[in-house]
Amino acid sequence: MKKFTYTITDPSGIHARPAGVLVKAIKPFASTCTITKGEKTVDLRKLMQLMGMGIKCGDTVEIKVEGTDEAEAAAYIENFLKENF
Amino acid sequence: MITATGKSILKGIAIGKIRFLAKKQAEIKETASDPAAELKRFEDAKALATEQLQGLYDKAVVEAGEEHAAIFEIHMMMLDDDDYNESITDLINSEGKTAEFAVKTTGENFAEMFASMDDEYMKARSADVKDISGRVVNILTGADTGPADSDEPFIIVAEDLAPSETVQLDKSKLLGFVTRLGSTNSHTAILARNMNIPALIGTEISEDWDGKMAIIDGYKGCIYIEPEEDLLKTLDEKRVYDLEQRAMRHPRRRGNQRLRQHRQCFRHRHGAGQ
Repeated sequence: MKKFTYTITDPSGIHARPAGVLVKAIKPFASTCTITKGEKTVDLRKLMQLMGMGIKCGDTVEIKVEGTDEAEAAAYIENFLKENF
Repeated sequence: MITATGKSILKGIAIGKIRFLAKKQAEIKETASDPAAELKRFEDAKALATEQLQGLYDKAVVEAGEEHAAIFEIHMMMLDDDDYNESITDLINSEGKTAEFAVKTTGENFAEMFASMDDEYMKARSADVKDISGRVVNILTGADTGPADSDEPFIIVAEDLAPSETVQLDKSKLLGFVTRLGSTNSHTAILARNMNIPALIGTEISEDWDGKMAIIDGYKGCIYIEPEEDLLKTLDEKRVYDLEQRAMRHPRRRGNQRLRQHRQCFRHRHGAGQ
């Protein structure tokens, strides 16, 4: 299992379009990916739920990736977050 | 002359005939006898909706740029969302609802979820979910979605404008819009700013205004229905002055469509390269 934390720096927080791109991009990976903010954890493949979390600038989230390609998936997600949020 | 006030999105003047966009509500049957058939209807409607959205995206990229066209990509992604689809198929399979009822209900639930968030941006997404659900429901019920074509330029007046509705309007004829609902963060406002078209939101509109001459005064945040001669003359002068000012500052800026009307003048001033 891979996990890492990330603090959102984008003033818009997690907004719809990059969120949608992320959800689409992790589809080919086999691992399960989740994002946690505070008490709530959501499957990274669920766009509406991800948007529904209302993750804002300054929030710290934890990403957990588990599966056969977890190293690759985790690296991809971390990079994506750094570039887009 | 009637005057109504609202929140102005853009400081500008628009003068033209009003077209009132009334929402056509089709009858939505609640229950169905054949879930498998309803599922197929939903899948087919969803496929067509996705196709339409792709078309709207392509049109919007050309008219408003990629950043603003992105909303239609979001719409396509939302349409593909697992939970959204699961909710619809559950309603069809476990509760024997029609495809259109399932989509409408699901849309309302998700819209409420977003609307109750304390983030302005997320609240606006509520409109997106309603828009995509409305699109699919209209396909399923066969309701007419587009406004009739018009020969003259017009000002649109409506209760609200969904993102896809603004893209479908004939831009070469659109002078401005006035809605009862909407926020300064809404997609409609963003598009109005990008198109450099005067728009008012939060205005008490009336269906009686349809077909009447009007002026949108984006400086005062008013719309004047059947304006008096003097007011018409003064504001028209201001309108022309604004266009000239704007064109001199941004001769090539996308959105300065009214330049078309003044091309003679500018070609003379700036040369044939315009």
